Amino acid sequence: METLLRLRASVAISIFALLLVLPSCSAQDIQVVNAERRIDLTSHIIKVFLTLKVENTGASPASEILLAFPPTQVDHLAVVKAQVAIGKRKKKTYIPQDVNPKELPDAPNGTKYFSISLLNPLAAGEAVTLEVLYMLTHSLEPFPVEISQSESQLVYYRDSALILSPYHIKQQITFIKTPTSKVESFTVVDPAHRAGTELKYGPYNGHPPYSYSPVIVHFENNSPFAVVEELVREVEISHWGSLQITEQYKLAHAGARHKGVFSRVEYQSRAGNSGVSSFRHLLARLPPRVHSVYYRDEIGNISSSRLRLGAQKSELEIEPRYPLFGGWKATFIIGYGLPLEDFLFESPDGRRYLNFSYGCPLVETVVDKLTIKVVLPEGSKGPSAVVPFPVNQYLEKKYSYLDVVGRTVVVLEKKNVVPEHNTPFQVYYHFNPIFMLAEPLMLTSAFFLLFVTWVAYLHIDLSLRK
Amino acid sequence: MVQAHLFSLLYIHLLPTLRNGSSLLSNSKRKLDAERRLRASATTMAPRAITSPVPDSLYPALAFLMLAIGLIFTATFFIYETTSSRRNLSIVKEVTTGAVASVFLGFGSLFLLLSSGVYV
Repeated sequence: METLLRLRASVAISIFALLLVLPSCSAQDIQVVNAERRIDLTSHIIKVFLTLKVENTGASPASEILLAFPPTQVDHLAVVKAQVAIGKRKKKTYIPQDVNPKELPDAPNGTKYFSISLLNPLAAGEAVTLEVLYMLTHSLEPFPVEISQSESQLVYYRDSALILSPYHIKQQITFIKTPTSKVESFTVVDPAHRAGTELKYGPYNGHPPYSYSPVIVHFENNSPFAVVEELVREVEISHWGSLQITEQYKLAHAGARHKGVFSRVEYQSRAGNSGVSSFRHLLARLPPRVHSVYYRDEIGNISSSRLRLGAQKSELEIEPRYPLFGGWKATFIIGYGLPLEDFLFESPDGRRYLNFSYGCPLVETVVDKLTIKVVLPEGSKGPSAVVPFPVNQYLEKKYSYLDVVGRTVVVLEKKNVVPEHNTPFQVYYHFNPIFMLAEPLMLTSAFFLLFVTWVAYLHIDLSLRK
Repeated sequence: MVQAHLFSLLYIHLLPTLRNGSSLLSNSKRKLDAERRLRASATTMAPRAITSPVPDSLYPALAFLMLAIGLIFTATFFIYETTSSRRNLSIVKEVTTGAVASVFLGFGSLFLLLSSGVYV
């Protein structure tokens, strides 16, 4: 009897102890031994490379590592990628890991988290080197907000000298790279040092978790701030052999707004000093074997463009009707055709799929809202899309040439798209090849109707008198 | 918001370069090739590209040919209609000529649309 009671008590105590231990093995068991952050501010898309040497100081293996971001930065995050480096110097291989946003209930000051799910859980006492890449858009604030044609563009970059993390970081250092060596000012958090285009914050030792030290860097950035506010790409599949793509752009210059007059004479005569932050040319990377490329807007065809065809890719260099200064916009349409056999394949289970690349073909541009519409031919059933990152998906109907029931359109929407998102995606659908005969049979029946009408006219007696 | 699931990137990196030029190979070599291809397809599974049932380059020629034949049959139809008297018209002959003419005209106009760039 006594032993039974003692047994029950010990079981209860052990369960209680387990319950106490389980929730606390989240943040405190992992320690960052060394953190190095390199922030690249050379273009308006900010790339941050974070190298974390993470050690598991707890007793149980850790399967996820948390990354913390301040709430102002999370809205502008376009891409978060992580990979694990294995091997020594020459034989390094990188294994990409899954990164997903995560909600934690007790986040201080509204911190948002991303969790890296490790493919091989980190055993107790072991260390692993994680390389994280994240990109921020719309994070360079122009100051002064308005500039004239002859001024250079200066922007603010706000961040923290200390890396925000839910873990203890033993040693950390941050390097900031600016496009030119003209840095107006930067917040000094000892030890901070600037040499040419590189700004160094650190090394800082032994800071507690969630430590944050806001800094502002005010520097010159004349790279083209090309932002496509809205892009609608329509991919029309025709089983008779071609893929027709139509792209509608709403382009804007998202840098310091232009004030005063625009003097064309000054712009063209003093090209190095005038309109340094404006841009004239845009480069679009198109797939190889592209044909029938057109570039037009509401007024008509824009002839200032050049197409260079190649074996690996084609390059279309477009020049809008006017150079774009801060706050100016341009709307245009680019369209082209592609051979079907490069993009439409048959999957092993009998379905057909379109393998196409998501994203905007323009280089170094941010797209605020990207919509890709894949128009499947008539008679397609069961469409589904497989995209490597989360998108908003729905179906629509479109009526095009020789359509009776309408074509199914798979619409994929995403916000805040950067060139890193130019990865292939697939759209699967069922199609019975016999449906291809529907179009010629429709034309045949139309002609047959004409003949039958003629025959009927000849044979029907419409006279009023016999 | 509908989350799209992740997909293994194996198929994406395999852009096919399958162009069947096996017409010049001898019979024994063709058998070996087929065996090799079967073994390869079992391991790597390169996706098969889908093309049009009729080669692209033939579209203008086919359009011209079919429209010409269709118009010849249309001409036959109208000649038959106008030369024979009302009572001697045989419906069967009329309808068959009309049907054959409309089939050729239908396919011909389809290939005409395709060759002029309207990919229907």
